[in-house]
Amino acid sequence: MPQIWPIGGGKGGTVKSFVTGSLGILLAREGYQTLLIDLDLGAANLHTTIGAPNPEKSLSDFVNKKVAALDETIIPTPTPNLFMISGAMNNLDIANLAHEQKTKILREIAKLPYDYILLDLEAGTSFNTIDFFLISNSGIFITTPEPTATENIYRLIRAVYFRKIRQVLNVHHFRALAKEAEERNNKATVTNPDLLLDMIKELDPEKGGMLEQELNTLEFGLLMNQHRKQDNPNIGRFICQIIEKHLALKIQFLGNIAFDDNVHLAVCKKSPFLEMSPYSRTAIDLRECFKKLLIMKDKSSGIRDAVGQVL
Amino acid sequence: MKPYPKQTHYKILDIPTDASPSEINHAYRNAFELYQDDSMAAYSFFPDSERKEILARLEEAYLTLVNPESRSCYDRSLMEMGIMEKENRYQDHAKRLKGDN
Repeated sequence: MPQIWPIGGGKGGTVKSFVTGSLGILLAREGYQTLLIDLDLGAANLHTTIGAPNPEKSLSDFVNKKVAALDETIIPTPTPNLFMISGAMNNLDIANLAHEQKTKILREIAKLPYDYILLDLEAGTSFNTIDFFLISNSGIFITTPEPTATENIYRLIRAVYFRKIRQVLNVHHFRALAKEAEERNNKATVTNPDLLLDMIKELDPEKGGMLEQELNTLEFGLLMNQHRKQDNPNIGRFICQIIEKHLALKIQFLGNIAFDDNVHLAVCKKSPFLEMSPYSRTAIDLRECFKKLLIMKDKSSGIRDAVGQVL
Repeated sequence: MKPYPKQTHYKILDIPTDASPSEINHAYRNAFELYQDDSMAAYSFFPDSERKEILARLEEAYLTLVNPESRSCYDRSLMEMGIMEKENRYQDHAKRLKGDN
C-alpha cells in the first residue's frame, strides 16, 4: 500500500504545486518510487514545477475512458524514481467531477504500486478537494503568512475535519447517538468536536472510545510557505495551537519555507527549484520540512498499526 | 471546544494545578501572544468579540493565579466543588508515571 499525502491550500497563490513538486523530488532522491498526481483539475500545472514537458496523457484520458486504467496515464519525469499523472488538459468538464468519477479515481489511486503518492489538490473547499484530501489521514495543509490565506486555511481545515467526523459517524452507525448528544446539549454538534465527543462518551463509552481513536489517527501537518523575514516566525505554530485548543484536532507544524524570487524564476525556466538553487534558504527549509514530515509519518504509521490491532 | 466560562483558570492557561509562578507567567505570555489584537492566527479564527472575551478570561485567570492569596482562595473554591481534587489526582498520576520512567 502506498503512503498517500494529499496536499491542500485554502487559497490560490500559496505556490502549493511548487511545494508538492519539491517534496516529490526529495522523496525520489531518497530512492522512493514516487508518484505525483495533479488534481488541481481546473488549473493543472504541476508538471512545470518539476521540469517535465507538457504531458501528452492526462487524468482526463482516464475519466473520458480513452484509457482503461489510471496507470496508463502515468508519465516519467526528468528526476529518476519520480513519476506523475497530469491533471486535465484543455478539458473544462473535468474540473467538476461527478461523484462516480471521483470514487473511481480514488479507488484506482489506492491501488497504484508506489512508495509515495502525492496529490496536488485544488485550492479552496470544494467537495473534490475535501474528498481527495480525505483519501488518507496524512494530509498536508499549505498556507502563507497573510490574513487572507490564514482565513482560508482555517476554512479548509474545518471543512476537512467536520467532513471526516461526519464520515466516521456514518460508518459506525453513530448517527442516532450523535442526535441524542445534540438533543442533550445543542452545542454538541460536529462543529464542536470535543463537546460532541464528551457527550457521546457519556452516552456510550465504548462507541465514544472508538470515535476518539478514529479521530486520533488523523495526522495532518501544516507548512507555512513564502515566509518573509519581516513575518512573525510563529504564525504557523500559533495556527496549530488554536486548532488544537479550539477544535481538538492535532496538526503538526512542519516549518516555515522562506520566500524566494528564484522560485518564480525556476518556474519561468521550467526547471526544478531544488536543482537551480540547492543551497538557498528556501531549499534548506524545504529539506528541513521534508525531514520532519518523514519522521512524523514514520511515527504515525507505527501508531496507526497499533490502533489497527486494537480495533 | 468547551465553553470558556466552564473551564478553570488552569485549563484556560493550559497549566497544571501545581504550576509554579514562573510557569504561570510563561503560559500567560504565550497565550496573550496567541490572542492579542494583531495576532494573525487568532484574527481569522474568531469573531473579534469572542477573541476579546478569551483575552479577558486569560487576564482574569492570570491575575488570580499569579497572586498567592487569590490563588489559594481560588484553589479552595475548586476543591469545594471537587474539581481540584480530580485534577490533582491526574497530576499525581502524571508525576508517578514520570517517576517510573
